[in-house]
Amino acid sequence: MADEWVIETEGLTRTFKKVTAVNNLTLQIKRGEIFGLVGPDGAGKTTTIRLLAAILDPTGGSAKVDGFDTVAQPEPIKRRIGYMAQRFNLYGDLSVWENLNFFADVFEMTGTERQERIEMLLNFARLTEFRDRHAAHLSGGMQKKLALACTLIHTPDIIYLDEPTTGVDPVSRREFWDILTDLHLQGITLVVSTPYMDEAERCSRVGLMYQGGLVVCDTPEAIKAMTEGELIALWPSDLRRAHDILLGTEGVLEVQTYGDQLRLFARDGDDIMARLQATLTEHNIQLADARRTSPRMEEAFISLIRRQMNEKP
Amino acid sequence: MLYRILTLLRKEFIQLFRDKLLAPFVLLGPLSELLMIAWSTSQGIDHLPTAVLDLDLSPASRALVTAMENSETFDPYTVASLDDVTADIAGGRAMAAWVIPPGFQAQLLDADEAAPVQLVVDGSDVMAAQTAVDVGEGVAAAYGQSIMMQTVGTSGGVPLEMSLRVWFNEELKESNFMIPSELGFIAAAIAAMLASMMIARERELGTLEQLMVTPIRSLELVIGKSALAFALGYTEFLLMLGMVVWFFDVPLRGSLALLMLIAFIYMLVELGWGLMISAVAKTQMQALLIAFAVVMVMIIFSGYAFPVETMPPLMRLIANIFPLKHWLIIFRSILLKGAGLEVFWPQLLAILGLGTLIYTGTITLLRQKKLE
Ligand SMILES: Nc1ncnc2c1ncn2[C@@H]1O[C@H](COP(=O)(O)OP(=O)(O)OP(=O)(O)O)[C@@H](O)[C@H]1O
Ligand SMILES: [Mg+2]
Repeated sequence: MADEWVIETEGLTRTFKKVTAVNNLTLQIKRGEIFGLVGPDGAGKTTTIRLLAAILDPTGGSAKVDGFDTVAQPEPIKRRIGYMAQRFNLYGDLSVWENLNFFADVFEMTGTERQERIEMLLNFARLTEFRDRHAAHLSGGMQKKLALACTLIHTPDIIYLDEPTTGVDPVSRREFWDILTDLHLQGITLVVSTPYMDEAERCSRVGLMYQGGLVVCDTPEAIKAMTEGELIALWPSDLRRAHDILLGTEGVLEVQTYGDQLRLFARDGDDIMARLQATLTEHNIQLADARRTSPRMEEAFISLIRRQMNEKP
Repeated sequence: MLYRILTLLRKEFIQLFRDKLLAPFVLLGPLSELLMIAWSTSQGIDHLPTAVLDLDLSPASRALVTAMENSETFDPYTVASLDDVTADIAGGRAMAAWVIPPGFQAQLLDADEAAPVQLVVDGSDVMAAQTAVDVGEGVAAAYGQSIMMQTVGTSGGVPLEMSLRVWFNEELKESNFMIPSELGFIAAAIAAMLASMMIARERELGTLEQLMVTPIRSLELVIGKSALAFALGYTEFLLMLGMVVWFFDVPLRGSLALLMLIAFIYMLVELGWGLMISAVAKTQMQALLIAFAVVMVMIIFSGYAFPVETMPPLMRLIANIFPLKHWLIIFRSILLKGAGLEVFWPQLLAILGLGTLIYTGTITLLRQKKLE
């Protein structure tokens, strides 16, 4: 079953002058899955993707993509992958059509296959009517779709997308993910980095990065199940004080703040639910509502990162 | 490989023509600069106020003063004593002074003896001083020549055009040769700068990162990106050469084909600098600034602004590591002396050697850098 892994890294490390952007990363990605790379700013997501795209050499460890080593054999890798960078990386002074044609030329595509591919991608990215517009004059969402279309021109088997929906409105974001789902259904392997937890939830498996290392790597369900204790959501009147008070309460493992609610991990949910009202009233805090709930990716991640932070101070 | 380079080249062309400023700037900028330098060296340095101390007061001495006047480089006026000469030069009232000794005419007529005339120049303005010296030598020579012709009784001696003499520097003094040296160098510098900026732009805009995940290899990228810059620079060179030869009557005594070939090689070598810069510069602005700094250093060391002969020995030694110095020698030899390879092969070898060094460094740097 070794063939199952399309990407494998072994102690992958990349150090820039002072920072270690990626630290001893060992990771496997399955053929055909949507793999999510999640982590806070500066966690090393972009660096990891660049290493896997063979455009950056590691300072330690190694990575294999489709069986090819990223340092020794970058050329065959380049033919198999598509890479959509975090930043808009196309030619703003060329039109949508010219950008697509340029990349088609670079991959030496010819004849009707090329024409059909370009038309298909324009249609797929919903850009047909904007074909003559300069890329610089497209909206943010359209630029992302054009970038995706350009990375798909040579029908890659693996696509890396670095924060493809950052700075895109929610409607376009949804549309973009529909496109990604289409690609997934075609059997393409997708590696997507994202800061959005709802997007992480749509992945087959998710790797959580923190300070260059991989904190956890599993399916969203498994990750959510990793949280300790039971989750309670509550809406107290004084968020801040309630947070501190509850954190000091016996049986409470962790408290997180979200907007106007607190989310609390308890060793025994029923026990805390029973004591909650009394504890808060004692400190003159009203409680509008409190209910048992199941953890989302967001709680799971924050919880896992906190645990990680406590382990290595 | 060729296909991908051509693809890149086509893209560059589209982008170049879409950029409404770049092409005119690149092509017209240096041409107008050349015009300005030509103008300032021709117009600027003439009618130098010149003190004349005529101690001979003979027809011959008066004829010399007239010859001076006719050169249009000197505006002679008469002074009475040597003290006046010194005072006028020191006070800036005169840029040059001629001292015609007593017995000048007598010595002239005596075919065996040279007639010594003293030319004093204000050395603080190097350009003016150099021009005065050169024209002065010309005037004296032409004058001597016509006198000699008269004494041997031959008529029809061709009076020399003094102002032209200086410009085109008959004696090949390497100093006041701004216009022709401008030629190859400016064009090469433009090509190098442009190439470095074009590559830095891809890096700055992030498109370089996108290109790196395509089958384009870094060598192809460098060739594709710099080819257009080079073509522009070379066109520029030809335009300037044409302008100098046709409008300014600079003689082209040597082989045009040889000149074009060596210019091609020289510019290719200088392009290597630009590519080296592009390997380190992260933004267009950085590329431009570094390129400017490099160009300044080259100008200082290469006898472009100051004659190499006046430099301290150490600097003269260092000057040899710049291709520009060797190019200037070759260029002048072909243009003015009509020399061929047998004369300047050492310089050509030097350029080739330096080119090998520069390109080795550049390729090593480009390999190392990848993306950072
Ligand atoms: N070319 C570089 N030179 C120096 N340091 C770098 C370079 N690229 C990344 N880093 C550093 O490495 C660390 C990880 O950066 P990286 O861009 O991989 O993070 P990221 O997870 O993609 O963050 P973001 O969410 O901000 O995109 C950061 O501290 C960053 O400053
Ligand atoms: Mg990033």
